Amino acid sequence: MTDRPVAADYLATVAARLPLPAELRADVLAELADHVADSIAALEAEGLDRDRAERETLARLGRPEALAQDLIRAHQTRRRLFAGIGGGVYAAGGAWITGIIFGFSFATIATIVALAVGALLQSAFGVQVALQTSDQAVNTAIYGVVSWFAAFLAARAAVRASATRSRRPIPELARWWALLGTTLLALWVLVGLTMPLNPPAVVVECAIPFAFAAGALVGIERPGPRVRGVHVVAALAVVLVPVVALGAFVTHGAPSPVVIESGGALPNGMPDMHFEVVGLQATIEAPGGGGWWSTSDGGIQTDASPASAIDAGGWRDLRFEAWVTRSVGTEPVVVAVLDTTHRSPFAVVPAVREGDRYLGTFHFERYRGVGPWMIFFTGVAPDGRRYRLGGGGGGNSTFRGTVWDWLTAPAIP
Amino acid sequence: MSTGRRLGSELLKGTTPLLVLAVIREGELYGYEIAQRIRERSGGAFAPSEGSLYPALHALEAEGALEATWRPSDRGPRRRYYRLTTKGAGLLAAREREWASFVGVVGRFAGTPSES
Repeated sequence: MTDRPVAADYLATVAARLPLPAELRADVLAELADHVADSIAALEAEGLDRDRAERETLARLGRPEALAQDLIRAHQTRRRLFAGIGGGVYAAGGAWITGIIFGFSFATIATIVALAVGALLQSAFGVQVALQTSDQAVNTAIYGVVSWFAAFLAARAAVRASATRSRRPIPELARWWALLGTTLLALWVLVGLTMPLNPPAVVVECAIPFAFAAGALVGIERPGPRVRGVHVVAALAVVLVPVVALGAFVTHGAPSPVVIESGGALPNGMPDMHFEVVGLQATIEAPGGGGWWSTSDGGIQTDASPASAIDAGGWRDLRFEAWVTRSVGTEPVVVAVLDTTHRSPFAVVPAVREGDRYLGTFHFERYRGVGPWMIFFTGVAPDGRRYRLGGGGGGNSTFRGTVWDWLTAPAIP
Repeated sequence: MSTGRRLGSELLKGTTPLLVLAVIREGELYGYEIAQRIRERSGGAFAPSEGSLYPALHALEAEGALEATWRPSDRGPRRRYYRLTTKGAGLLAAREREWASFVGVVGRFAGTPSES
């Protein structure tokens, strides 16, 4: 290596114009510095003084700007760029899978901790903590948080792998990966990822692209910690063993899970179901709307029969109506009654005759904010008024679709 | 041997990979040694080519024609030694055929240089 100011300036000029990954750039500069030192020593041995030997050496190397430009061309070839893109995509895929595995591991641990703490509070203080939910969108939110891990790790892996293979500087590639990855993930979340959604789940999903951008940009030039298998095993042992032991301890002898029922009698008798909001009960009741089943495309189907008897009564404009319900009572007996703050059904489908029955198919999963509901079969009598012919069957649905579907879906009034 | 003349830099730039490959065929060498060998064997005619030496070495390495390893040298600091690969040997042979053909064709027009 040379410490002469002129040679040092020359090498500094080359370094400043050499946008290569730091390690590679250091190697290139070390090689050039060796060359300069060797050349100066050889010229001095031939009889030149130090200054002349140094000037001659640098003159033979040519302008530092041109040398840097030629070196960049030699390293940053198009083939390496494609290799960098391919390597980055491959590394991102692997890191995404790793992130999902680790994310779900941590989510599982977090769930065990939450259950253990909940059981502890219940057994020690009698505090009831609701840890169970039938809302599938909660799973979406958990999956979304897990995807944050995956996206963050994928971005870092992509940037580093592509920088190494393409021999381009990390900051330059990080900006491109952030832009490209965030755009693709945003499109995926917006129109590609179909999941049960509620407002928190939508927010969590929308944050996935930002997690990728953060992974690509935040502290990307700092080397990450070197994680070995032994560290993972130690971390799992430190976290998991006490948590499982605590969970086993506090859940031992804990009360059986709370059963939430829809329907049934309260100890003080049936509450007012408020069916009058739907309409007057017809004198001839059809059994329609009392039962329902799921269709293969995610819908809810219900029926009313016999159609011949309904038709004989002169009913027209037959339809199925879906109404919002709310729960009343105390656990373990909770009854769903009509929510009287809603003065109209949130969904209506015409009754379609099929054989000797009327069929109706709802797609509650396409309504933003849908929750518990109850279906009724109604029709207009010869007196011109709409009556309740049957129904009362209920259930609970969750919106299912992409974020775009969520944004454009009809909302429950 | 000295030609007493220096060749044009553009002409040199195009032939640098051939010269580098031909010199490294003789054995593992580091950058300065390669430059020295070229200088000695060209009689100083290729002296200005050192600036294009390292880009050429790195490009040939990227092509897979050369393999480079950092090793301690006999004289102290570690150096980057270059070695010809099988692919590099094939490339050198192809370049030599091209060069022979080129010289033959140009020679028909330019004639044989007279001794002065």
